[in-house]
Amino acid sequence: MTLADAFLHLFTLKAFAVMVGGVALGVSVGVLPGITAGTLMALTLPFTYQMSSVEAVSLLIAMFVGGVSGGLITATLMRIPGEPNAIMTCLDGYQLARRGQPGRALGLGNASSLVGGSLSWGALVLLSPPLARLAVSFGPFENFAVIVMALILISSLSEASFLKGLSSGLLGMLVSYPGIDESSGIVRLTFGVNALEGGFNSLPVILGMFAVSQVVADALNLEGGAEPIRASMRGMFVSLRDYAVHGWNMVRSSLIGIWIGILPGVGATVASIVAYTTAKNLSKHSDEFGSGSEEAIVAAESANNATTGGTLVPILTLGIAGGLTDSVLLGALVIHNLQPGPLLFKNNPEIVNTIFATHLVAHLVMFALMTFGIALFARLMLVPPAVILPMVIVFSVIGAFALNNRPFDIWVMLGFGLLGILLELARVPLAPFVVGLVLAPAAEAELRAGLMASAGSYLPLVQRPMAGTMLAIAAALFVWPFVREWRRAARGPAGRPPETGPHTPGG
Amino acid sequence: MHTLTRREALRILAAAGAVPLGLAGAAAAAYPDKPVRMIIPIAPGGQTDVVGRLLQLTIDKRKLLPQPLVVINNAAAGGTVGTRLVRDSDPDGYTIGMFHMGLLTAPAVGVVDYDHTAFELVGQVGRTQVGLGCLEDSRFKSIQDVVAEAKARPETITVAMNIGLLPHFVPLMFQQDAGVRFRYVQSGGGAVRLKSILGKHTELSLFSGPEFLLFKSQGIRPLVMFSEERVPELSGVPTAKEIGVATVFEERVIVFAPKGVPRASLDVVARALRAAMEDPEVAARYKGLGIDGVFIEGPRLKTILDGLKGPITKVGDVVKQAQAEQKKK
Repeated sequence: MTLADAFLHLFTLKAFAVMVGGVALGVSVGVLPGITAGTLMALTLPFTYQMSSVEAVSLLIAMFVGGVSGGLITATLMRIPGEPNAIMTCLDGYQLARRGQPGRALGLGNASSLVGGSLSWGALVLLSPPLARLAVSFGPFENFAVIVMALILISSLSEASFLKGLSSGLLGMLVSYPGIDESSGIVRLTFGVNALEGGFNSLPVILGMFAVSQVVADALNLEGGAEPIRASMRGMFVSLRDYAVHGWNMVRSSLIGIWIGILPGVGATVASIVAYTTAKNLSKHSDEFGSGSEEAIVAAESANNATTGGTLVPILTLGIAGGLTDSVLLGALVIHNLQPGPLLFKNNPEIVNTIFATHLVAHLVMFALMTFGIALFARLMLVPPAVILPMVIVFSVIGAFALNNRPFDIWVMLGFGLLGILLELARVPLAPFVVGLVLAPAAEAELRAGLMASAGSYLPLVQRPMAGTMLAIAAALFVWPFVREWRRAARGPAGRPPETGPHTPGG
Repeated sequence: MHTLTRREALRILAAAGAVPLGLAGAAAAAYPDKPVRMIIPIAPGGQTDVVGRLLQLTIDKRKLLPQPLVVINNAAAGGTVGTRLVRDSDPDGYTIGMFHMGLLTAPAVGVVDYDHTAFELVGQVGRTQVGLGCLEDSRFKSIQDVVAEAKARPETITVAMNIGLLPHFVPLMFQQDAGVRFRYVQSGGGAVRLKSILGKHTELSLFSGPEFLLFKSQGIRPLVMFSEERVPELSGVPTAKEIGVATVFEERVIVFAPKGVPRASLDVVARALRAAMEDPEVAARYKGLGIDGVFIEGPRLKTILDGLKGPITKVGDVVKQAQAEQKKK
């Protein structure tokens, strides 16, 4: 089966129905806070035993693509990440929506998702083998350097109040600490609580901080008449001019997403964080980031969708998986008696081509579904919050529980909901918290693995060319906002726009 | 003469009544009369999970149990949250677990304070051989090369491991038996260790027989297997015994239940599992996956695991000592 055949086969009735069903389910769980694409795919895996291998991989890839994309909607309309990788979209998508442009925010996000996905498809089909070789050459020190680049965001996100941002980031890191230390097997900071041995899982914590606290805040405002988002869907269709304006941002963020996707276990959330930081640092309007910047939405959504193609590279060419979704995909291949690796391309071209074809067509289907879906979901904004908010809580509870089937995670979610409310009251930004929570354990694990290999020597961090280069970039990213600030101050007292409250773009 | 007190009389009456009542109850509600949940404390997609789901599917399809068997994955904390969940469940036979040798290695490194003896063992439903491998174009041509180099320059050969689990334990056993020392680098599951070797970030790692077959095309070469006899599919690879090192270790997939589940109930589950493993389709899948499909029932498995406890504890003490030194730093 050639790639052309695979495309043709995909458009036969049954194959197309399976794929569209997969994308629709994926988008739906993406929209639902708490229930992630990984959970959906894990639950679906047993059902694929009965399917043909071509159908099975097609269904799972479709879910994967749909799931990464759907989180955008909830993030934009409710400031709740429907999927963890939509965290960065929460920051600006919601602000833009509140300024009366939900259609514009969603349309931009959707278009960026399509561009990111398509570019990553190109990389997957054309460059898989060389990219895989390059990815494998990335060892613990290089991975550590990549993560440090992302961690720098904490400083970047904290310009409003550096101290508060930093505290939030450090608090996030602290929360990632309890549990079994993955590098030594030692149980730490559990204070004798057995349930804590698994640590605070990032999903229930993020759900608590963003979903629960948001719901409580909205619920308290029910009487007070919180200004509802005017559900104007104007701007839902992105014009060619927009593609021209945001083109470079889309390409750059997609490249970041593709590359981070290829590194096993780093993931879409990190990709959108790095793309966001990069966009912010390169932007002429960096002040708008966090208050409804179009560039921010474009960067985050291009990057997280671009990881989909990247992730498939090591799975197909090397049989290497990092996160839950990757493991499920890899498991599906093994269950169907397929051996991922270089021979897969020779022995089972029908599978490889099906995956290629599905990845691209699923993105087009996703774009179409989302375009319809956005109009539909936007109506949700007209449904009274008294109906929506309890539903959000119910799905969050289900999602937190479904992750590992343990009630403890629900309590974690509620507890961090409370913390989220307190932090919001103290005007401490939540984004650095999530960055610290997600990145600190990964950075620690990589650095310690590297040190184990080098017998405790830190020298490879600067001696290895890729690691050294990336750390230098990270240092530059760290210093840049200060330099820019200093230069601006030196030029004259042209005041920055206020940090809080909506303001018009280009102002 | 002894007269019956009122209380004694009641007790005898109750006991007399209980016999037929109990029998009737057993007949009306034979185990299992509701779905049995099986906790698999690792993420979906791994080898143990594949075995579990394969058996669950066959048991349900062929109605080998009168009630459905429901698989629940609980991957938190290296499987310890899942095994603890099984241990603390009611011993009514409606919660069972499936795990691998992590059941014995986790307590040895001090992550949990219970081992296989805290459970009733239902049986062993799969076994794979394990061995050390390296990159095809590695500087090591044979396991003898590795031993010689490790003796000449201790703690310079890097081993990609997964802390506390077999990829950590078995190389430690081998180094003790062979009188050498390796340098251990934490990486993770089979796929992550594969990447570490392919990227030349580490030199050796433990893989299972099925993994060696799977990773061959990527350029992974087995050096030694820790089986009693040579593995038929890898007939060119020597065993440790052949080079005069006593290390023998196998990965086992173990089904267990909380302490106190009646033997009769365990037997019901064991019979269903054994029947599922004898299903021709399952047998073919086991063969395809490179897993040995001989069922070993609970009591015999317990004897085998009890025998392994000593060596595992010995290795565990080495790990704990290293951890203690690290803490001091």
